[in-house]
Amino acid sequence: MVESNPYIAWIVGFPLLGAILNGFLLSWIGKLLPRGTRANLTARSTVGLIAVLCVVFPFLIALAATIRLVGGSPGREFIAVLWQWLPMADLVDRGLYHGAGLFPPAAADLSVAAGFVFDRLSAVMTLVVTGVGSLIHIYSIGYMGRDPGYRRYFTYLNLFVFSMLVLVLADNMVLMFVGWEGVGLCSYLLIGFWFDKEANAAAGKKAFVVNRIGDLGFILGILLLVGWLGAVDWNGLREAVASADPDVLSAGTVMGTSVAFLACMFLLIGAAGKSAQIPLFVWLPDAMAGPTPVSALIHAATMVTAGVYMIARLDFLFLLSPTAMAVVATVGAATALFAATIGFAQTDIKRVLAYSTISQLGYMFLAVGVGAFSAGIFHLFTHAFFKACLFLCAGSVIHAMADRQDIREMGGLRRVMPVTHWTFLVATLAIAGCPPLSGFFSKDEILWTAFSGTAILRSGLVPDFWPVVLWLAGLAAAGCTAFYMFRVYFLVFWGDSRAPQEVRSALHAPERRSAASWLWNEPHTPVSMRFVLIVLGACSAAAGLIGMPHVFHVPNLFQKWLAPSVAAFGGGGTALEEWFLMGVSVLAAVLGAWTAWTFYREYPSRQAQAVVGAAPRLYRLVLDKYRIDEAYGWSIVRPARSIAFACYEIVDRVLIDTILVTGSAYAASAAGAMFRRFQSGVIHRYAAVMAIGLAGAVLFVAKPFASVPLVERPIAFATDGGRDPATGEVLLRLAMPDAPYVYEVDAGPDGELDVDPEASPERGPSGAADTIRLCLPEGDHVVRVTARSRFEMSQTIDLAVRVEGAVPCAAGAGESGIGGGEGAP
Amino acid sequence: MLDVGLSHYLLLAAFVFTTGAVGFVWRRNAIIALVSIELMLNASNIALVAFNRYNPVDHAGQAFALFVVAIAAAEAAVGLAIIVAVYRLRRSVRTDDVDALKG
Amino acid sequence: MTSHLLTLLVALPVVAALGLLCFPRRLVRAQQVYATIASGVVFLLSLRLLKAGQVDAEGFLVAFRKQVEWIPSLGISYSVGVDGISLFLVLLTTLLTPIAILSSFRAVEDRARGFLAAFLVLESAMIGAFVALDMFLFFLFWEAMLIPMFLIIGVWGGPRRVYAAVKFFLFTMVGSALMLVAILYLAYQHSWLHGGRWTFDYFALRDVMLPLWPQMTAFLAFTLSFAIKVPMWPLHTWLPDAHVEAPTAGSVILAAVLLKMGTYGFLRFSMGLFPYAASLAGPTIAAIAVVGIIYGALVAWKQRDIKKLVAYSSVSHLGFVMLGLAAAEPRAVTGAVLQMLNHGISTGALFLLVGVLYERRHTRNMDEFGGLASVMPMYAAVFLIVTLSSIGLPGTNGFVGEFLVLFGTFQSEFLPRARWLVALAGLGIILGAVYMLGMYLRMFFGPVRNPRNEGLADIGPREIACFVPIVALVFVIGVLPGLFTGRMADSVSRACVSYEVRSRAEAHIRRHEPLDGPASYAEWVLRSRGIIASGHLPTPEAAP
Repeated sequence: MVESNPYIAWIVGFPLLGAILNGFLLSWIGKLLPRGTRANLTARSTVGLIAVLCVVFPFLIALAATIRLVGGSPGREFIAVLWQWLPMADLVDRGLYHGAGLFPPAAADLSVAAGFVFDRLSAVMTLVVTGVGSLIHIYSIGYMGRDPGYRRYFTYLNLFVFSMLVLVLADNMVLMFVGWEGVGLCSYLLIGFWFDKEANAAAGKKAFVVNRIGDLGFILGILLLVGWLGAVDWNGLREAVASADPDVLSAGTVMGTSVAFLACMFLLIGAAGKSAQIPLFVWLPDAMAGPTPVSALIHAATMVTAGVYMIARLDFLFLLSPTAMAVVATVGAATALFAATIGFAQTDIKRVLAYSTISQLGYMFLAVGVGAFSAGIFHLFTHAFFKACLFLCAGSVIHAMADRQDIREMGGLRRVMPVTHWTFLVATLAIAGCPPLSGFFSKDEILWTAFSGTAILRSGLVPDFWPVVLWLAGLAAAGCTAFYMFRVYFLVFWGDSRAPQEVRSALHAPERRSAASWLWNEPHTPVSMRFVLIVLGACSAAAGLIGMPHVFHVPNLFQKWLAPSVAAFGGGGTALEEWFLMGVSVLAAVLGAWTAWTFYREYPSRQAQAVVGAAPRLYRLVLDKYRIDEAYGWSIVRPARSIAFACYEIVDRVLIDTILVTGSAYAASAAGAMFRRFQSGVIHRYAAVMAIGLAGAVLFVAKPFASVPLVERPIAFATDGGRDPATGEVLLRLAMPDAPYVYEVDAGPDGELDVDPEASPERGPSGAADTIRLCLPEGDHVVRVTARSRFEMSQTIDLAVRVEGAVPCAAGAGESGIGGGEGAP
Repeated sequence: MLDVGLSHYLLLAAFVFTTGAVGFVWRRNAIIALVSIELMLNASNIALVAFNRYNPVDHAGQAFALFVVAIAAAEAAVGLAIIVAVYRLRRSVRTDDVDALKG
Repeated sequence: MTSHLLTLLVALPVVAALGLLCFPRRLVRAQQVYATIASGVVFLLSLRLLKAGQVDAEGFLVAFRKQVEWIPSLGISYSVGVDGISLFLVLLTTLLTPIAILSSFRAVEDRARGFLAAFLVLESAMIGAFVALDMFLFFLFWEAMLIPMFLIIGVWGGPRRVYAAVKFFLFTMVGSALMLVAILYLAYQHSWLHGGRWTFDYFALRDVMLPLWPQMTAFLAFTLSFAIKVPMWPLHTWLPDAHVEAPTAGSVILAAVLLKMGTYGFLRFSMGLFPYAASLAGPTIAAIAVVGIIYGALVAWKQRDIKKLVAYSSVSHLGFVMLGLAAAEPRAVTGAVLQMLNHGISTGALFLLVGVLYERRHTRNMDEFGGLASVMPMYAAVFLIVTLSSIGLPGTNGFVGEFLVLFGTFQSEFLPRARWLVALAGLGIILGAVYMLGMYLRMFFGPVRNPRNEGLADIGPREIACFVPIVALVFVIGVLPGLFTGRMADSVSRACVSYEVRSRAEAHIRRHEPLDGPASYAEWVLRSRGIIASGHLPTPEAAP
């Protein structure tokens, strides 16, 4: 049930308004105001207030809309169509030609509207984006308080929220792509926010370019899908899939591959780019160059989850190709495990969190890949809280440590920063999957669905044991997650401070040691930051409660909520199995945490060094992130650079410019040098050249005339057609150039002229053919025909004539002569 | 036997023309060159008149010959004037010495 | 009045150029202001063209159509008109000329009068070439563009200006000489077909169906000429040289308008006059266009000279336009026409931006810069917007054009490997981000290393005035492309229908009958439809 509701557009509109106001409008207005009344419209407080309000308002609108969705029927959704954006109707009216079969049938009108849709799926995403977004905006007021680029920062941040909401609320694929690239742009701008360090800007560029690779996949996916299904908006696509005959759908192939599979693969490339999955994950760790709240908002809670959201949006499409689903699940599981192992050795607190994000996104891909769309979105939801919380805690730690990010330099912060410590601990427990915190429920649901193997996974081209493999990878990743997260936790908050003296002396614990001080007081963290940390910590603890598994005998609210929007596949196992698996995964988490406790309670610890010492090269490899960046550099970037070099230096410079362009110029000038000699300026030499030229011209013009064929078809002599059937005379057909002439014909060795010029009449320049009649005996003859003109020019030709058969005229009955004017043959 | 036909006139014209052409190319003296040009023009006159004699459709040949005579006279006047001017400038009428046409 | 508007637009700049003679040589600023105002008036007048009105049978606006006999014995007439395709190109010309002149106030003060006159004459010729509907007239304007541009590069250019100018001139001349021969041949065939009646009228010549090989040859002659102008790979090497040596304003007009002559000519004349040959050559042209997209992007990546980089990026971007045209799919062609406009706006703006920097530092080597974002924040912002438009970010104009081209090409019936081509062309999009953002990174980010960049002034009011309309257009086209494509739709669909009908009909006919002499399309199209309806010829599905 689709209802039009223009307020939805305001969810998107407010952040854009904020970006415009803060970006340039207020400062322009400020300049236009008369001098005396000039208010400072770009003061920090104004900027911050506008930015925060422009995210809080959409949150409130989204909340209201969500409440209205709760009340409505399950399929209820609100739409707001603003204008027709891309006109993509097939402009050619081919109706006229249809009957003739000359043209393929006209395609549907594929115009793309700037339209937004608020359904149950986008409601979840919108609430996450605006909710977490509001909190992070508030946090940023404190965090960026002293930064000179304050206004620019909030402009970008608002712009990001705008783009993200376009992505989430778009009612069609192309508009989603607008948001998709828009968030990429904002990510680029915010990663390189402190652009005076070149590394930051380079990281931004890397993120943008890697994302663009994914975006190309996305665009190709769009093109394939839209051309195939004939719709661009979600509902149209869904209906096209639903209404089409399954056999017809599966029969669609491009280049020998099923269209559904191919489109899914392209979209997966897009999703992998945005969500930092194998093989396009390399940009996310570098993206940590941006301010920490940005990492929390963009590179943990919202933007990077767009890939998961997109796949969930297009669940009906992915379900068409179980093989594609299996690929998604496998990529997800592999990424989850792979990124988690990299997290073991990293020393930069934000990088650990970045790899953790990649790993958690892997879980989400695993979920949507096995068909547990709602579990994937649920993990997205909980992850947004605990990962944002972790990042923001890291932010306040970095803030307190005077912008130091190396965990080896930290330690003992739990006494100095109690609020940060407690919220970090809660979030760490949540991500490690400690019941009953949020991460436990979402992660457990994913692992359970993967293990029990949904029908959709089994129908793909995967071996039977594959669900178990996926589960094992997920389980191992869960253990690893617990290990590296607790490693960070212990290194940062436990033990003794390892910070340099000047930093350590600046740190001091809260004054009063009371219960309230634990929850609130923290001298190094501004109020706005503490508030946000506590809210997010609470959410990470409690958010999981809305999606508890069925074995708990409570309703899974989250799954129920999403049921109308995304397909759902239940696991196939028993309740006992589910309990068992739950126990195993908790065990894995505990094991990971315990190992971290053993190794990193103190730093540097004997145990940790022993492990590192046992396999130094492996440690080095993990520390270097498996040298994936270097591998890409070798295999892709360097060859591309070499090709570019060859194109420019060899093809452009040498082949085209030197050989072709300059070469032809040299050829021309060489020819010129040769011909220049003729222009000596000496008259008689000119005359000589002229004479030679004249002679040549005469030869050229006159010679052909000298050999103008006198006889048109000499072949005619040898045939019967060349004889008069009545008299048996041989007929020669001749034609002369336009001049008065007479014929002289001598046939045979007798020495007499058979046709005497004196006797024959003068032929005028009629151009018509003449017929010479000769009476010849049987045998071979040579007939010499001479034409004489009045200018006493003559021309002679010898004709070989063979006369076969009886010759009636041989008795002299016939008279040789000339007849004419019969017209050209 | 001495039946003078068209070809005799044409041969004569060709001979005179060749003499003029060779003279023009071979000789370096500008006056001689001018005389050679006159020879060539007159050779063409012979040819024109002879053709007209043997194909007297109209009197185009004779008329052309008269034009050529007039042009030859004009040309001789201009040519001699140029030669005199060149002589004043260069103190020579040898065509080798005058290569101003090279530009 | 309106029926003379186009004539006025063509004539006014030349008249204004003559008016420059009234100014004393010393009053450079007055001359510049005068030229800006004159071209600004031309722009304002040209806005009248936007008024929607009735169109004639060929899709040209009746109100502005004008045809006057000129050399009746040869059937040459002064015939001008605008349709949805040329409309925006004319507007682009009239918009960018005042901007270019405005931008050159400080850059060209030496012999400014001649420079301004050349610019105004160039404007006339460009407008004339876009609106001419008589092949002779078109050729006249086409050649007339060459001279002022040659002078602008050769007189007011950089150190290697003569080399660049001569290269530009020769490349273009080679193509246009062949085109002239083809025009004459076509007119001759038309007179043969119509009992010796000569005409150079575009619509009359469009009806001539040439025999296969002459048609192919004439098509190639036209296309070579246009491909050089576009420029398509591998005929592009004049472009970087011309751009690098030309003064800023010259580069702007060269990139923004002159290159569009090639793509416009390809659409209007190559495809319009020889649809069958174009449909045969289409796949090859599309392939070359894709090579150009990737090649231009790769080479742009290697450049250190900003202008050269932008020049090579033009090769890449115009590859998209050619790809869309070769696809001959209405959406692709719409995208291509829009992309012509987009490229004119964003690349024109890039050259303006480079010029701003060149005026201050007299270098175009990007390694000389770095950290400019903190020195010239406004400039950096404008540069970023234009960069994003150039790499086709959604929301800016570049995306709309590129997407329509890719979308339409993907659906194209004329290119057998359309999907591969689109996928490969997509690589150009990635590389576009690589080299453009690489340049931006190098110029604007990082610390200010070069002390000479520390005191650079941000853009001033005159420069802002240049950029405001451009930046506005970047977003207007990006957000409301319907305003533009709506006006194009009718003409584009006519062009596509005519192309499809005639090329397919001719293909059908040729499959069954040898055509040795020229024929009339109108006749044969009717006949082929009759044959198809009666079942004599196989339908395309049945045909191999």
